Amino acid sequence: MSDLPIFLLLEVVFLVFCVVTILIILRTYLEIRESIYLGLMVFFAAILFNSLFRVINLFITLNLAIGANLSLSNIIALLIFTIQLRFFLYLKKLKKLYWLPLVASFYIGFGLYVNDSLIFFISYAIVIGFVIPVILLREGRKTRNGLAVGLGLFFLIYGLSKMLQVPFVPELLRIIGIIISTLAVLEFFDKYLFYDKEEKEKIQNAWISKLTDKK
Amino acid sequence: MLGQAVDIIELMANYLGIIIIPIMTIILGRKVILERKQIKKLNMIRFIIFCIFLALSWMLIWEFLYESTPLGDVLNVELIISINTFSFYSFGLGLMITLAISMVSYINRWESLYYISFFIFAGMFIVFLSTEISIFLLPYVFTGGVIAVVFLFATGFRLKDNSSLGLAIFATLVFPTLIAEKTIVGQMLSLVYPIFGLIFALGYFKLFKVGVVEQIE
Repeated sequence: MSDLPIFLLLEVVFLVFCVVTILIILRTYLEIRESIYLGLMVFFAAILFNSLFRVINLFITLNLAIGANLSLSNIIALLIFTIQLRFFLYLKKLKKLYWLPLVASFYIGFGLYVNDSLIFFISYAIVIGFVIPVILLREGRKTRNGLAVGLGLFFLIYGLSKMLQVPFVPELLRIIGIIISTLAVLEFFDKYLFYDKEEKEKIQNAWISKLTDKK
Repeated sequence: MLGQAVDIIELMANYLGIIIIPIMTIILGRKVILERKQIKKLNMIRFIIFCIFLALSWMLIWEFLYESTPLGDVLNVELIISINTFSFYSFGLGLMITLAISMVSYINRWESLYYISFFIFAGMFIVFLSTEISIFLLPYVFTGGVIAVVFLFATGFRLKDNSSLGLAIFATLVFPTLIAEKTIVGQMLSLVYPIFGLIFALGYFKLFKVGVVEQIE
């Protein structure tokens, strides 16, 4: 019980970063009007709700099972997986597969409703929690996309935090993950990590030579 | 007397269907292959139409074996002909509707919807294989069928596309035979749709001068 204040503090830090991330994404969405940012907002809202739900569950048991094994936390997890996969398909420009995450999540949810076996749910979670973030990281590094790298790291760390049961380690990992994602949506990686000095110098040189030609 | 008439027409329709629909499928398949050789590219719309008729032939073969041959006494109803659960017959029916929905999205170039019907159908089948539950099958067949027919008509008239309209008319003739199979109207339509299908497969159904398929070529 003495761990409770530390746990609550860590959750509050996580929640604050989550809210900041959502607000930054909202600002970007209002500027660009790309539907994927709306999806990312729902994704972080689901993560925020999941965190709140964890805190509430410490005091009142809310996680009631619907059907055989479909609980509120499973529904939130499916929502998170759906948006993660959709984001991956969006980055890979696989437009023909856009509806796959929603349909797959629906059937996996239905499977949990009728059967208490978690095999499909766990397989889906492994693919989305580990395989997709690794591909995202690789692709993001190749295409120098800071958002993809940041979110890939977040998905990976968040997935890892779900697997550990050491006190406070999952909470700390989640905080590290959300800080990375906040930096990613703030375009930190694009500005500093993938900053192409040579390209920038080339552009500057081109401008200088244009100006000297005019003179 | 009426019951006897229905039985006779049913037998005639079964024989007509089992002869004409596979012939139509072969004609369409030949067209697809020839076109593939000529333009060095697969014409997706024709290929989907061919697959639809292939699925229909599959259904009719099982229906014929069950209803019009002595094999009907030994074949398992649940496995062969049942429509409430996944059987050889209902799998073909579901696949036909899946392909029709896919064709609608393909003709209209709704790229994100190209495979949605396949995802839904495959999901249903996997759920059935793992839990033996097929509660989504009948609602999918009926709603999917209605959506496909309505959109095929709409696409046919909007884009002046003969293949969509032909398929819509064909599906309109086939659907009542599946729902009201044991009625005189259902059996009469069972006689009509193979004839229309043959006209369609031979390429004589050309309400509009230039269709989408020809334009894509």
